[in-house]
Amino acid sequence: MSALLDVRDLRVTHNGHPIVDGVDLRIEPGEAVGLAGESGCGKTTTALSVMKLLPSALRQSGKITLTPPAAKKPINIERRTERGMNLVRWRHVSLIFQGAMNSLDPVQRVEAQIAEAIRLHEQVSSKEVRARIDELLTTVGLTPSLGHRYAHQLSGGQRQRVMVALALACRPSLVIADEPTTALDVVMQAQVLQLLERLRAELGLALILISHDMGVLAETCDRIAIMYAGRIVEAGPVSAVFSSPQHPYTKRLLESLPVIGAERGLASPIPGGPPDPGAIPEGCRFRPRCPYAAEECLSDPPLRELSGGHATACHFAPWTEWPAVDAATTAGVRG
Amino acid sequence: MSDVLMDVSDLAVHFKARKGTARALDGVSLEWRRGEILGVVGESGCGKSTLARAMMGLVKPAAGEVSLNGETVAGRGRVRELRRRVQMIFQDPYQTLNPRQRVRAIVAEPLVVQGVPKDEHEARVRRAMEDVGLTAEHFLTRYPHQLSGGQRQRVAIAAALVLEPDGLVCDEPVSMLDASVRSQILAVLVELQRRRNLALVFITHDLSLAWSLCDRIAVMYLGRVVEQGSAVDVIERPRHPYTQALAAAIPVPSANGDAKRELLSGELPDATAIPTGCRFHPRCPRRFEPCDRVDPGLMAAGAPDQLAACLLYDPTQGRAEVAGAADG
Amino acid sequence: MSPEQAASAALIPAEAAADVTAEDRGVRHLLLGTWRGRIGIGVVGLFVFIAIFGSLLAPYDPNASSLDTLASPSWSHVLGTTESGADVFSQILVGARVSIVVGFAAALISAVLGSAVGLAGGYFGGWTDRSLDALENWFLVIPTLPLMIVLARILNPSLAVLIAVIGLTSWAGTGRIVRAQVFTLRERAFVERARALGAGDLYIIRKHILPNTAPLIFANTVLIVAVAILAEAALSFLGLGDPTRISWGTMLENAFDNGAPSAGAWWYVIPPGLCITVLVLAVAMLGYLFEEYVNPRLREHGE
Repeated sequence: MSALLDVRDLRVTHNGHPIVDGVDLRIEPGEAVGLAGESGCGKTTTALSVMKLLPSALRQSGKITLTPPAAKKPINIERRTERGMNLVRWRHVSLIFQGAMNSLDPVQRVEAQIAEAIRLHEQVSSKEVRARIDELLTTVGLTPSLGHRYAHQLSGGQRQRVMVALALACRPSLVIADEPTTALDVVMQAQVLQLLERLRAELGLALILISHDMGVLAETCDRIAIMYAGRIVEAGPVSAVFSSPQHPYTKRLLESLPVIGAERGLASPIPGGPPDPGAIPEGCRFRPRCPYAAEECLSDPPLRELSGGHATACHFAPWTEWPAVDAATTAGVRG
Repeated sequence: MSDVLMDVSDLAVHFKARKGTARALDGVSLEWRRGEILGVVGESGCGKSTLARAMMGLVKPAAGEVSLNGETVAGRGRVRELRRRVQMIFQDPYQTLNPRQRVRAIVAEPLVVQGVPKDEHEARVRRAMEDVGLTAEHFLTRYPHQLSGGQRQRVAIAAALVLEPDGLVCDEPVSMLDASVRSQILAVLVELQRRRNLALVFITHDLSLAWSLCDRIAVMYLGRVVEQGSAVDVIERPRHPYTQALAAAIPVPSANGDAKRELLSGELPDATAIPTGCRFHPRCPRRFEPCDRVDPGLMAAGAPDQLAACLLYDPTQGRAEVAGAADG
Repeated sequence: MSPEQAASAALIPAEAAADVTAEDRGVRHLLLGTWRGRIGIGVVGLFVFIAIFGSLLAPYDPNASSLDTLASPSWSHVLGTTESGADVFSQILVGARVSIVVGFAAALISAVLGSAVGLAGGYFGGWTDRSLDALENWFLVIPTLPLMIVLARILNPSLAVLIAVIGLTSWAGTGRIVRAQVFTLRERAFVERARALGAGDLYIIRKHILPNTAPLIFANTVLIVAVAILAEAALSFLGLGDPTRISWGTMLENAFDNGAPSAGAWWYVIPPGLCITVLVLAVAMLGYLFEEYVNPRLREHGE
């Protein structure tokens, strides 16, 4: 069984500076993969590249192959023109983007927007469109009559569900959700995640979930990839990565997650910030901020597999234990 | 000097909305103690931001009162003192600074408005900048658009510190910041609190953050405090069904599979249509007979200083009602 | 966490500050760095120069008549002569002054009036806003040219009247824009912060609202200059201008009144028309340039 989505060596540049710098990603049908990282690490760009939705100022290269169960042969996204992409978008892969609940057209009724999404990508009779809208709204837990309303007549949570319904309009096999729970409070967040979970189970959807919130990803995803400065620095099954992180960056990200019931207190912040695309450091990109950096880190570590699908880009992996870090020591090259 | 910096008692704030009167705050009572970090948590729309503004004297209460250091805040003199002793940090770092002012002017503004003598300005501004970790030489001459989100928030904090207040009300100060910047700003706030023995009110919808950071937490729902107590008690051993649902909704990065969680259904009702009886009862998984008639106040529940506004902890209230109904 | 840890965690290297943005390059870049800016500032600068020094540069007294009536351009009269034998070129040079003065002065009045009304209404809201808004609407709805004509007719024509009339009929547009901007500014966190400090309304308007509205007012006013110049030309052409002054509009009026077009005296009709067009276009170019620059910044988070 071939992968649903196979991304090889994806590179995106802006004015020659790398935003995404060699990303490989493989998604099986029905799988949920999380993309984690701080803002600027390239996760959203990666997702948008899959749908070729990048702004013209960004140049994209690399092989992206989509093999939906419904299609007769694999779709080579990198070779598709804009017109060709129109047949792919929404039909095979769709997007729930950040701040989506504010993106509904305020002057169109909700059902009209869903209908538009369907008609733009498929040839369907009006009757079927009608039936499909009702079905979609029910699937996301809304009563079909709500479709007749305008966006401002719906509550925040209802709007978020409409966005999910929109993404499902043409029954894609892959949905990309970019920070779907940011700016939602914890109850709504849980409801959205539960909805996505249920949809995965019921419809066999594959999901790429992008978030800077590790907790959200751990809940929903089977596998996770941590991105930093345009590269994947660690990837693997969620349980493995969370119980035994193999990259100092992942370790720090996990440390800043409060675990209720454990010892209280704020983790000390990672000093500095991610590198500018125009000023990527020599060797390992995380070196300037890494408390364990050493001589070897001047050479760029490749992403290598440790075991059971768990891969990391760190010279010193596998890490069985993490030596204590004297936080007062400024990070840098030692020795 | 007593333990309590600010005492909010039975505070009500109403807004006129198209559908009627929105009771944004509907009888809130709180104690804000010196040197402590008080967390205020709740869903959006529960009134926590309104509470912050009421504590700052920015909205006029319809009922109840706010007292500072034991004296009611009423009349110009007292309000002016409130403005000096309590400062506020806002949520959006991109809106919190005047884009046409340089950092120096922004940080010095409180001194200007409050009429602090000019010769003191320079020293105070520098100290505030130092306290938030911004080198004066580099940053005082800059404009906001030359600063990152984290730096802007630091400037806002410096501006809040320059009058040497006793307390800071922080309305979601890090929710719009990126993960690593977030921890930096929190580190600044924690350090300041420690160094200057500031009292902090930390408003957030992020329960885990409130748990890690705060000494005490008040949970708000539809304009009322429905539970309060120490942070550990309230989040780890919540007593009010609403708090229990909130705590259950926190995504858990556990290495094992998914635990089935009982999730709260529906959404926060509109503040113009607050349910009768206990305001949480329509969504409450543990409601019972009198909950739709009796409006519970905060009562002892769980740990010694833990309070919850729920009839489960004083069923005598409910039983009396039921008994009355049966007789009547 | 120890203070040292917090301190080292807290210090930010200055390099981390955001890159130099367009704003840093500023108005100067806009004016001198773009071709639109250069043309605009060049043309307007030229005309302002002429307005100031026109009478000194004019080869002839623009009012002096001669026997050489409606003569086509020659070496002695570069742009020919008028129906009374006066030198067209000299008249053009002197006429620039009226256009520039009326244009700028009327725009200034319009800006001051519009800003004051917009600020007051937008900031205070309530009845103040409702009544000022009604006033604004009234002025917006009335067709400006007929109103100008009526007013100019009633009042004795003079430069001052012209300026007043044009100013009075164009302030409402500025007022609208300012009011909308003040509405959004009023809710911004930095205004709320100032209020939380106990700052009074006047202080807030002066320090926070006005500086953030000024760029918008400026951009809008420049466009009004263009409108005012056109309006002056129109009114003068219709005979409602100051009869004692030479302006491009009065030149056109005289030209048409004396049958210059049918006499084929193109040197009398085209130059004033061309000057009006070129100046207005240049001013408008600058105005749109500023507006483009100001608007997206204003639309984003507070800058």
